[in-house]
Amino acid sequence: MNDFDYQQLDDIIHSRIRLAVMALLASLDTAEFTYIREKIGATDGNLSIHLKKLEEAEYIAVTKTFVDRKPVTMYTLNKKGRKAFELYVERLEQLLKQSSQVSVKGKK
Amino acid sequence: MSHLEPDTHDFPVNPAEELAFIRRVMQDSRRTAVDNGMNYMFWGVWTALAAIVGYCSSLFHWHLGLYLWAVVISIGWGVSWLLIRQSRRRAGATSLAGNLLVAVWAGCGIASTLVGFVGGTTVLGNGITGVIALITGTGFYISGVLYGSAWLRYYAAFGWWLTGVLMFLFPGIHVMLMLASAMILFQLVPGIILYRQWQREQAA
Repeated sequence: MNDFDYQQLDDIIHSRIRLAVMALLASLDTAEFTYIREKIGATDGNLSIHLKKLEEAEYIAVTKTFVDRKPVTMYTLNKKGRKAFELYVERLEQLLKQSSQVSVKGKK
Repeated sequence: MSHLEPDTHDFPVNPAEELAFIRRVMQDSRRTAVDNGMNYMFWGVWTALAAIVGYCSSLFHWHLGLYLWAVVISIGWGVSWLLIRQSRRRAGATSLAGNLLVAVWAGCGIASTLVGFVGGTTVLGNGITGVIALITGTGFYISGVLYGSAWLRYYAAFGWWLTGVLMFLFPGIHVMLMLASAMILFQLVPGIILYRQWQREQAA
C-alpha cells in the first residue's frame, strides 16, 4: 500500500463507539452488556445499535444466560472480529508512519 | 476512560489519537480485575489459624491430625469458590489473565490437597508442609507474571520457596508455626496489597 487511503479503514469498526467496543473486547474474554455500557459511557439504545452492527458483521458473538434469574447478555470477540481489529490497528499505524514521513519531507 | 459522546460515523482520522484511544481502552479493561486479592487474604488467615491449631494439637496430643485438615481444606475450597463467583459477577467481564489465574491456583490447590492427604499418609510423612510451600511459591511466581507485578513474583514466591527449604532443613512440629508465619507474611500481606490496589483501580 503506497498512498494511504483512509477509506481502507474498516467501515464497521470506524466509529467511536464500535472502536471502543472492539478494543474493550480485544483485551477481555467476555464482557456483559452493562460492563461495556459503563466502560464506554454510551446509552443503552445507542450501544445496542452498534453491538447489533458488529454482531451482523460476525465480529462479535452474543450469549444470553440467566444469573440469579436475571437475564445477562455476554459479548465475545470472535476470530473474524479479532482479525479485523488487528488489521484496523495495523492500517492506523501505517497511516501514522506515512504522515510522519510527510512532515519530515515538508520540513526539508 | 473518558465517556464517549454520541457516535458520529466517519469520525475524523487522527491515527495517533485513535491508537492512543485504543491503547487506553485496552489497558483499562485489562486491569479489570484480574483479581481482588480476597482469596489470598482468606487462605492466609484461615490456614494460619489451622496451622496454629495443628501445632497445639501436636504439642498437647489432641490427635486432630488429618480430621482438622480435612475440615479446613473442604471449607477453604467452598469459600474460595464463592469468592471467585462473587468477584466475577461484580466485575461483569472475564479476561484471559483472570482465567489463567484461577486455573493456576486451582492446579496448585489440587496438587497441595493430594500432597497433604495422599502423600502425607504414604511416602512424604512430615515433608508435606515443605512440598506445599514449594507449590505455593510456584503459584505466586506465575501469578506475579499474570499481574505484571515484580514484587509478587519475587517477594511472595521466593518467600515461600525459602520457607519450604527451611521446613526441609529443620523438620519437627514447629514447621506448623513456620507455615502460620509464611501464611501471614507471604499470603495475607500480598492479599492486602492486591486488595488495596484493586480498590484504587475501582475508584479511578
